[in-house]
Amino acid sequence: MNPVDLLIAATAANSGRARQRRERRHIHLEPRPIAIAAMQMSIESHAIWGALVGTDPDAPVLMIAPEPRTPSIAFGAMGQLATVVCNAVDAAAAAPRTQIARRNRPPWERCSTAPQILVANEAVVGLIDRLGRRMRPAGYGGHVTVPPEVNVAGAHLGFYAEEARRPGSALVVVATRELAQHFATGQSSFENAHLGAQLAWFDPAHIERIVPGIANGRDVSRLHGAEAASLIERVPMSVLTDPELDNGQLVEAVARFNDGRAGSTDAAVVARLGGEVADLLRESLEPTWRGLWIAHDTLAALPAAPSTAERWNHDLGAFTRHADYIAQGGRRRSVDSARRAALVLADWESAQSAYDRDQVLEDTYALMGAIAEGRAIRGDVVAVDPTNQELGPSGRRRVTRPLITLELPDDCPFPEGADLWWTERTELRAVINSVVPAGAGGATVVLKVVAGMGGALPSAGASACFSIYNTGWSPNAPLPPQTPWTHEAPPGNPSDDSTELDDGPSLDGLLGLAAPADVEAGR
Amino acid sequence: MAIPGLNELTEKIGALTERVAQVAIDPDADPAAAQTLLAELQRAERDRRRLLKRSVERASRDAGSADRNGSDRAARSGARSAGMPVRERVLAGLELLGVPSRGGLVAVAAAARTGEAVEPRQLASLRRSELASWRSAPDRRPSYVVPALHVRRFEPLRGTLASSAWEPWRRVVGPLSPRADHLRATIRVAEHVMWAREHSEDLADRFERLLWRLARSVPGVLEAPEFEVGGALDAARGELAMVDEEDRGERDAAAVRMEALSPEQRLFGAGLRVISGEAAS
Amino acid sequence: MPGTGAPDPVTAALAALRAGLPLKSPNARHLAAIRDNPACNARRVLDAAGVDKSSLAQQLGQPMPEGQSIFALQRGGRFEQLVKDDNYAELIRLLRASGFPMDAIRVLPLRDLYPVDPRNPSRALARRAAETRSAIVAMAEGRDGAINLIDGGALEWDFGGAIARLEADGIAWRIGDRIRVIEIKSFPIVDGRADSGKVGGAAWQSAVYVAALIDLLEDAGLDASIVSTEVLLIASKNTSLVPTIVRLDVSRHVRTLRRMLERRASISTILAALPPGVTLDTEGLDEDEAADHLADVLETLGTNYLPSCLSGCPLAYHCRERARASGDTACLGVDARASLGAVRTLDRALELAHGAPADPAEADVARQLMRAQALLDVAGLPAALPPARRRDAA
Repeated sequence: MNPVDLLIAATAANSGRARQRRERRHIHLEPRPIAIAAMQMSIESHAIWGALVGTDPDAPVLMIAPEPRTPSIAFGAMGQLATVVCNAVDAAAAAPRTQIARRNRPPWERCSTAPQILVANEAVVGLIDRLGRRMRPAGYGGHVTVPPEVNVAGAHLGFYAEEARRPGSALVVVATRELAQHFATGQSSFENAHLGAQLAWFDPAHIERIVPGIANGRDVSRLHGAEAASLIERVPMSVLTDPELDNGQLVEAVARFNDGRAGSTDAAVVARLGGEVADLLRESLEPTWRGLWIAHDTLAALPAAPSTAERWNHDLGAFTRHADYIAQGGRRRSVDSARRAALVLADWESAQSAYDRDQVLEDTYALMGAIAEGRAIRGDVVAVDPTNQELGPSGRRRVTRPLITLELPDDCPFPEGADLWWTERTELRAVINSVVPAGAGGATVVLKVVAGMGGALPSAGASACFSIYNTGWSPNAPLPPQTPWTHEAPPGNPSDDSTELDDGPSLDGLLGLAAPADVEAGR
Repeated sequence: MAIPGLNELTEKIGALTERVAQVAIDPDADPAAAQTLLAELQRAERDRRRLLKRSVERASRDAGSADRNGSDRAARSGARSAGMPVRERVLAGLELLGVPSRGGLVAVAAAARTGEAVEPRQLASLRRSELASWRSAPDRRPSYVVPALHVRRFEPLRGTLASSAWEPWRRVVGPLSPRADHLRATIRVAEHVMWAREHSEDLADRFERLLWRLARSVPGVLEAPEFEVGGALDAARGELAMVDEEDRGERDAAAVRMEALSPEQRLFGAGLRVISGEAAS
Repeated sequence: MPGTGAPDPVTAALAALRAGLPLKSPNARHLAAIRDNPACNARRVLDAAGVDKSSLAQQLGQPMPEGQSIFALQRGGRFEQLVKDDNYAELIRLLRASGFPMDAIRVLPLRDLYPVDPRNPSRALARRAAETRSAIVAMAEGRDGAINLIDGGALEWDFGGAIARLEADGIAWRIGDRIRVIEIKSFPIVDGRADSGKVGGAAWQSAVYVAALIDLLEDAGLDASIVSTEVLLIASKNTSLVPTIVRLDVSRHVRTLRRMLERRASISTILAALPPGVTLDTEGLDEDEAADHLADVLETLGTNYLPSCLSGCPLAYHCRERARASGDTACLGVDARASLGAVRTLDRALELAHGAPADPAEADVARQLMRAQALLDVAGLPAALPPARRRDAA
């Protein structure tokens, strides 16, 4: 672990409060993202049991499937989510677009805005992915009947779930991930995955905002972050409800719902009778809902790093391509071909490099971290010789190669001949000419500028940083013409990616919850 | 007169009963979970009572109207046995299957044969009361519901029922027997389907559903383009032929050894706990 | 060997440790957990002694919320029933459809033969274990008429100097010429893939059974290569409960478990190093004294808190509390602890960062920390958090 990060975390643990780990915010934040707090019924992993969804922190929409093991009821809630998602995507796609000039081609019309989804943690991203998988092909196999909007929304959710994993993407803001990226608490990443437990370190009063009354009247303002976290971590804030609640009030409420509807899956009946389950689930979801907006505010308080806007533009581009493709009737596959998987991986690797680089170049904390790990050096500029000349590559003309002498407080982690870039202006590239260790630790390094000398140089008397990072474009490694065997699916392993998931007798039939006619039909 | 939803409720109750039983003896289990399971079981039993009550009321209303064609007579003879004692229903189910079977399957067979349900709770208390009844007056009744016995030392097999009227070899279970008996039951039920088709559409319907459940796992049945009774019969006979002789051989040999047991042990098994007169099952 | 004459010293010592606490045999999941935290002696010894860690946690005043959702139980129970109903009809169909030759099926119905009496559960389990052993040996010897399906088998396994009795949820089959473990789990398989945590859990659990089977045969002087390290997982396909078979290769898991057990001190060695008379008995102590005593015993046995303990061990809250109180670097995570090496507490790390004299063992880390502190100081970075822009204040 990076020594700078270690120190910041140790300080946080000691002081009982979170500390900043980044100076700036490196993820674009929409003022009104679509926040989604969602829970599934235990191991029924491909359905929403309940969700709170919306862009207004004071007015979430509650979507409930009181009996999610019955497909038609489950698709009721998924249908509501589909409406919200499709409306948002369509609105963004229809809004006035930005013209992007292209060489020798008509300008590309890129969306100027895109929906941003805000979720609590990675588990919710997983649930969204699974929902998308189930919604996409629903109805094509004839086992369930859903409005076409559900299929379209399934494609959108799949797109968002995939983008959530792309380094630097802001289409999905995963609250626990972004908070941990920008701040350090004094607890482990395991504990940080609980949104409430992480927020407790920022301000113990958050636990009262998330679950009023949780401290039983105690004054929470002076609590150590760990203590506050311990209080709130027992409150489920991920995709699962409290098993105690399941085994107590929820199972009874679900049973009463099923008794009352007597096999009917009519939407009006479900809405009328599902109130008890809805109330219980709403109570379970509200802490996460409140936590999401507190997280949003916390991140918003950081000033945005400059390249954040450019990364968002990239996201807008991806969104535009996806939205237009789907609008033209395209269908999204659920399982990648080997080739596509390789392309995606390569894209993500270069996205990660770019993201790391941008943070180092735009954020002092990240730069300090890079120096601590030997990816950069920082020293006092003791001398600059802008007129130094030497024989050029052709051997016939003399070329200007300014020399910069840096005094480092510690050893130089780079050997002679290493290429480095000035963090102030990455057009300037320099090669390490010589390294002379000083007596009591430290070194004097002479750098020879080999590119970008036409602009400003570091000034003597100031400090300067050089790193391995530059903003030049590097193409993706070209794919080999034949897919390597590591990327082939093993033979005899058909990945039928468009199968409807509801392709067998439903669980509710086997548990005796369905109307007998449904059970017969499912046989 | 098949009652819609009855089988499913019966199965649900069977499933819940087993779960409650498992949770009750599992030291790891959460007591609150056991309580909730129990509550759910009670609700399901209440639902089934309601369902039956409605059906019985409807049936008595319909029976008041003119007698229809004779093809329903066989079915209605089942319905007329509303109020048939549980033990009779269970024995009817066992007769239909003809082999030692688990309570859940016996209940389904009983419902198919008589149109009457059997609740797992009733099965559990039946096992106890049959032993008591036999002890108080052995052989007063032509047949009793008894546990199947293991072929080696005649331990009673918890959860498996047989009829005391069966020959000893039929009531003992050897290693090959579970599968072999399943095939024999499949054959027997298939024969019943063919008979019922000549006599009562409703009965044939119920028997066919039971046959489908039994025959699914016989190779060749699911792969056939259509489910067909003759095909199922042939397939089951084919698989049974592989093990029939050996299974019978083991069971016949065990039947001979059973003669050394006391009359009670011959029916209810050896190795009984001598505590409260309850069969160790 | 269990059941023959006087208990061996290890068993006796473990029983003395457990004192009057009710016996709770570890299951395969507990045993497989050694891979999460091989250095935690306390957990290994407690599991070996059959101590109920949840009730210990209660007594320590730090109970963890446990409990499974009834919906999970329902689904799992219903699924298992589906697979095993009607004399394993569905299981047989699945296996045949997957290409396994199934000729005569010979069943040993141990659950029915020896139902567990809640008043004395170990009696039935001991008999099941004995029967399982004979049946497996007969399977391996290829005897005519040997059982090829054991339902409700129980295996005894020496997992490092103590014997655990494992109830296999799975079933052992002799299929073709190999003995295989079958696990039934109801989680969904979609597009040929499933939740990796769940599949991993099933793989590790089955690896314990496979290891136990191998050891059983080797003890009996038979060739254990007949035990397949390919486990058959029966899970549900898509969102229905249609059973489907997935093959899991657990050879790596078996090797890892064994390696971990070999590398760690055996249970008898751990016990031998304890002061005499160590026991969890709290007779005559009030609540607080009892909690203190139990905490001491745990300390003596040797705990090793890691944040991952929070996902599986009932004692995690207790151990975390102790770790926090002493500033254990593990509170920040395994990476932090590994990076800090010989620097064992967070306080020490901060001291060293501010220039405190370092031990030779701490020297490297101290240097890095001082550099890092210097970087942070020089850059003049803010110390406290910026106030969050409050929505209601805006």
